[in-house]
Amino acid sequence: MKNSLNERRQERGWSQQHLADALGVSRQTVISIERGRFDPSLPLAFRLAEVFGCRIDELFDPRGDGAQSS
Amino acid sequence: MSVEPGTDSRTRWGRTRFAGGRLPALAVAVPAGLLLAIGVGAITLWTGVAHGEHAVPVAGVFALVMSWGLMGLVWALVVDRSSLRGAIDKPDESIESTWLDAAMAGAFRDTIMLTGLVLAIISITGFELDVLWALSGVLVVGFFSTFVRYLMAKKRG
Repeated sequence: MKNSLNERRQERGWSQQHLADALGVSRQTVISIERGRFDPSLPLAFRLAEVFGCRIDELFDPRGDGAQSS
Repeated sequence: MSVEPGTDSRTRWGRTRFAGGRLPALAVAVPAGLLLAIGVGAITLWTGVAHGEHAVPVAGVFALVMSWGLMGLVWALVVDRSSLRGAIDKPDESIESTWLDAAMAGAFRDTIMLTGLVLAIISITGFELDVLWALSGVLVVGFFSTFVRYLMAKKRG
């Protein structure tokens, strides 16, 4: 699923490990979500939205596969 | 939710999941594993695995060899995994959990297929296979398939 995780994380100057620690998951999970290879569970998607202070549909776009490139 | 760097009080071997997590897991695992190992040694003596002057040394060797595995087994049963240093808070929501689930599902299919294939070959050829080897083979196939499939999933990312 397309998502803007990578852009939002870099805007905040966070490392993948920092985000993984904040979410309580492994760094590999963050990497895979950013690459669009792993769709997070609903609770994890809600935590992502909370961490970035936005809505889930602002983070994820179900219309495409893979991470957002813009 | 998260543990700030430098504030992680969790330990390498963790704490028990009972008694409010006050006890280090090793404080339970080591004595319990040793007691079980002594029990295994006693069973070796009782069942007469070795006779005469060799009986006690053989029982001692059995107990010694089994003690490490039994301590590890007890540790795995009593440890609270969230108390291990570096443990993640939500392992079930991490991608590793997805990899393991997929690997175990695939390994189950592999085991069923291979067992069926070997069973067919044995029934056609009339080859006699010892049940100990057969069951060991099923275990090895299951573990090996899970291991390989997990590594493949990890490599795919």
